[in-house]
Amino acid sequence: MAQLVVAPSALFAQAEAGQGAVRPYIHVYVAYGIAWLLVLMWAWRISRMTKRAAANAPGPQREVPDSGR
Amino acid sequence: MGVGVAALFVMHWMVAFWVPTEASMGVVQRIFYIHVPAAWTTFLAFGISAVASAAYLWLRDERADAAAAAAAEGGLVFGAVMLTSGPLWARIAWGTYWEWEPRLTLTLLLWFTYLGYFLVRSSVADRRKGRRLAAVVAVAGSLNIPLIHVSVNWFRSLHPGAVVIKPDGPTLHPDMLTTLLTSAAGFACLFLGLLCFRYRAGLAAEGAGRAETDGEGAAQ
Amino acid sequence: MNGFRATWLFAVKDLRTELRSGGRLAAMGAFVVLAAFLFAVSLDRTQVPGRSAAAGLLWLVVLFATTTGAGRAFDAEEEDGAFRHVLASPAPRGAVFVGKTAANWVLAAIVAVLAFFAVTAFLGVRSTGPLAWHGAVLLPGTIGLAVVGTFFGRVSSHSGLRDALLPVLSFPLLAPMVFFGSTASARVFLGRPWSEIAGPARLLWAFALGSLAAGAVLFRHATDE
Repeated sequence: MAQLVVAPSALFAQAEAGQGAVRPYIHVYVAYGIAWLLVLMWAWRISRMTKRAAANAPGPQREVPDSGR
Repeated sequence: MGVGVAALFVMHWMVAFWVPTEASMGVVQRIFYIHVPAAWTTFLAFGISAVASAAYLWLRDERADAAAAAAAEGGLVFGAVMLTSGPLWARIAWGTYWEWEPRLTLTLLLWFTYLGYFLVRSSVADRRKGRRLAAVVAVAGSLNIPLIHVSVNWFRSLHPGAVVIKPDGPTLHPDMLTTLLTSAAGFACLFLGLLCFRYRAGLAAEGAGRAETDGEGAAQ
Repeated sequence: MNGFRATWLFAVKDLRTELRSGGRLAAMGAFVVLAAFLFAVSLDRTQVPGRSAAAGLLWLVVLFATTTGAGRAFDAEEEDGAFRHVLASPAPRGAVFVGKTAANWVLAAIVAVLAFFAVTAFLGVRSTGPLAWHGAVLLPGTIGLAVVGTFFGRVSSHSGLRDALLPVLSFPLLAPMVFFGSTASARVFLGRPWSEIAGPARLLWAFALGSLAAGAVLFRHATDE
């Protein structure tokens, strides 16, 4: 009778211990993932700013050719 | 910037395959190799922003303001990296996501100070005045930076004591120190590279904006 | 014009205006009593003993009241453009700042005394340590709060976000002051020896005087037209 009670709780403890072994890895991957995400977002913002500034920059003035009419 | 990216790839290899696992905290300690360099980069960024802001207040040179804004933006980004990686590390290492101890807390406050910098910049109708007031906020906020380092020595806290910047030298295992310094170099080079691009983009945007205004004035 | 004399004149002018109209002080005083009341009501004192919360609540109440009041320090002069004349006067900008801060500090000190009695009354707390020690902690604390509140009150007055922006700008700088202040006040409430209180009190003084000096230097950049 005692074994019937102990065995499932031992399995449960083992499953929890397994999860405990995985959890630090999850934290590490999430931390590194967030770091790269933030840096790449900043890089993307800078590239958008650069493109917008280039698009709005005053270009060289072009003379419209005289059609002669 | 290329050097920075390369160094960070090397760092990732070192963290994944080379550096030994720390005995007491286990594998989660590897967050240390982005958390601490992100912290150093944050302070570097906010320091550059404060100096450039002071230069802008003194010289009224738009280039100093562009540098200050670019550095402040970088500080917010790397500060966010630090403030997210720290709790992820702390939860496993010390059992709590956030510990109200001075260094983490004051770094969070510094982050909000520079958020205020951008709020002032964008919410004042007169752009020049907005930039000047933002520069004042940056200089005033920089007073927090030495207080952060002093607080680590003043209060006994959960946050690890200064294991690298100590009078008698760093106390890390040599392989860990190598990995940390590689990561720090990578972060610094990456930040400085992005800073240059952001600075140029800011100046170009300012020039385009001024040309537009001049064009409107000429048309009138 | 001599800087000290200018400081004195601006401080007296602001206080005289405040005594005549009384609006700001009355509002800050009412805020303090009501806030202390609400904090006491919202705390479950079967779980949180009043003495554990008294110091923190005292400092929060003083922080909010001082920030709100200091943010309005320039309103009267801005409304009719009188502040431009103030800036055009021969008085050094630093003296204008210190004078206004001194006036705000007087209001903050009055409010801090009121807050102390309101918080201790509503929480049913008696201080084990002497009242003079509370004064020794609140004195540099209120100076620091007045300095930062006055300075960023001026900065945020130019912004469209104004009242929402002032706490964002000032609270990060004031948080260490509140931390040290509430730590020191809590130790006085608990009757700890002065040797345990002196450290945080010294840091409060360092912060107060350092921020006053920095504010006096930076103020002209916050007022250049």
